[in-house]
Amino acid sequence: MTPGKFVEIDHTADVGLDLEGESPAEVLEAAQRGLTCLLMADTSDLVSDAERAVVVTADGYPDLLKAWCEELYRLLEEESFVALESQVSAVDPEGCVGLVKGVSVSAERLAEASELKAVTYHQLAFDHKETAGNVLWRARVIFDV
Amino acid sequence: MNEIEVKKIEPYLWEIPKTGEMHVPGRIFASEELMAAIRTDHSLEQVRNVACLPGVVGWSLAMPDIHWGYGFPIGGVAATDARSGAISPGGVGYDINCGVRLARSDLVFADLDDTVRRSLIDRLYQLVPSGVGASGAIRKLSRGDLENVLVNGSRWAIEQGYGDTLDLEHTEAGGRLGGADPDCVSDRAKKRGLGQVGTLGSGNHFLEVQRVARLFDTTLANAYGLFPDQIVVMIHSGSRGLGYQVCDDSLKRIRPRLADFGYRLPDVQLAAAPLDSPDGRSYLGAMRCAANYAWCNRQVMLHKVREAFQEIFRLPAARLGMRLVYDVCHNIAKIEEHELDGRRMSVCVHRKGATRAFPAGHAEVPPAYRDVGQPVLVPGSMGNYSYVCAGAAGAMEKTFGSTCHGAGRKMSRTQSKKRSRGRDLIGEMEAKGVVVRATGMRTVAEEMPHAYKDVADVVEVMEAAGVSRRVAELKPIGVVKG
Repeated sequence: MTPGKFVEIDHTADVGLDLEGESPAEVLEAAQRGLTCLLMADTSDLVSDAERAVVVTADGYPDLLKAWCEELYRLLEEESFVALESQVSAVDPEGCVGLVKGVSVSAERLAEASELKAVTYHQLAFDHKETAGNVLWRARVIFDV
Repeated sequence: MNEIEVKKIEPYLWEIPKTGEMHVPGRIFASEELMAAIRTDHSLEQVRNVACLPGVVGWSLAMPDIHWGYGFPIGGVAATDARSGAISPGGVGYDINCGVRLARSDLVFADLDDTVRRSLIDRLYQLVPSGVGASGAIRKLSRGDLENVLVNGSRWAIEQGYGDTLDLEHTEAGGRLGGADPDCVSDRAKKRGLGQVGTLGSGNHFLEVQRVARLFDTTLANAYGLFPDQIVVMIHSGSRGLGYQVCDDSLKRIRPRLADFGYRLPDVQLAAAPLDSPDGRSYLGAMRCAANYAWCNRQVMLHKVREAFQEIFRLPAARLGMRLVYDVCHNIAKIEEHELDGRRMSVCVHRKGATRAFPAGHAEVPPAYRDVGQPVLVPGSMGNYSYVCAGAAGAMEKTFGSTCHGAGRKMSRTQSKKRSRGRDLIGEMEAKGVVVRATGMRTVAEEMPHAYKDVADVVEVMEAAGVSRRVAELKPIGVVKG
């Protein structure tokens, strides 16, 4: 199975991600990679040395994507923890359980990150399409920066 | 391209006629050139959507720096009936009371040779933390201190010795909105606010040392304490994580309740609640707390700026003439009295990316400026210039006492980064005479002047429309960015 994909998208003042995968879990994992890419200029020298269990609850898949991104950003803002990889083990419209691997960075390195004001509801979408027996999940999320 | 019907009704004023679910027409202040740019995103659609807000009165307004936002356009103004209308967190934005503060000095450009200028910018960069997780400008607040900040805003900072009472007189609303209710602010928001007082943030926030490059009106400039070649300092920041969280918490609570309020809105991001409802009052109480936090934040930053100047010039800030010219917010909802169709009424003015611009004689303009109108601070992009303007009489007739707030982006962050790739951005700014200190080069790439409209075009439109007048043009000589 190929991992989910993310593409950075344009918005006049802000930034966003278009996501796709063969399952909701893949989309959330792609969101983690995309968000880390948006937040950190360069992670090539960072190596995971810790992990965090992430459990979020939601009211539907779009809400879940927002809550997942918010929790990843909270880890960065509060714990200086940069998520480098993730694995979502259980997911449904009411929530998900995931394991995030990453590393805590110095205050200087943290200050270089982009700040998020919010994970917005603007164009927030997370849905699937079935074509010839194949299911493709797609999502969009816009961040206020 | 945007296909909304727009008619030009005055040289710098356009109208979206009232149709369908709109309660009022839309009105956009713009030149032909700016309107051409405005039509390229979805902001006109958002002007039309805002006209559908319950209880909206007069017009759904857009300033010339309008661009696509969330629910409301950035650069949007809407007034709702304070008794029967709605309040919308989207009409304020995530960064509640994002605003601008300008301090003047007696120094002139010649007092800052290259060495002094670099030392000053370095020191400002050290004293005013910026970027993600920035904290430590002052000691971490206790819960009690934070409650005090949420209720008293800048006054708390002054009581702690971070400034003087004259600063309060020269701050919109005296740096404190009444009716702030800390019980309406979530624990998560409070937690985010404990360590961030006195921090700049990231994105388009900045601290600039500027010189007065040009005066447009010497009488007004004199009243504001400005003169040619003078050194001034501009701070652009807001309510940090606490304010973002207040907005997000409110949206989460209000969005599912629209049907309960009987609201049918064209865009769920307009999420609004009746002002006279528990949800409306709760948002207003929390929003005022965040607004007060933002004023306190900018007050503490000003104190840090004064410290830096004192250290570099080895004179007390007072001897350097470092007085606050004014502090204005441009993301706020306030209950104000306005006249509409000959009738005086109490309205909730949402200014999202718009600045209050009260004219001479208005009771809320501080005594020092009451004969000339309040200062309006309009930052441009970091390599170009910013403006000091003054509120004019037309603002009360046409815009619920509001004007523009900045240049407005014309290029996305992604596009701007692509255009900046491979360039020596810091070197380019230095060549323009601007020393830049930033926590990350990515923000600099996203915020380069090529990403913004020309703020000169924006302020000219508002002057031609009789809403605000240009007083001074300020050129940056040093920039601190998150």
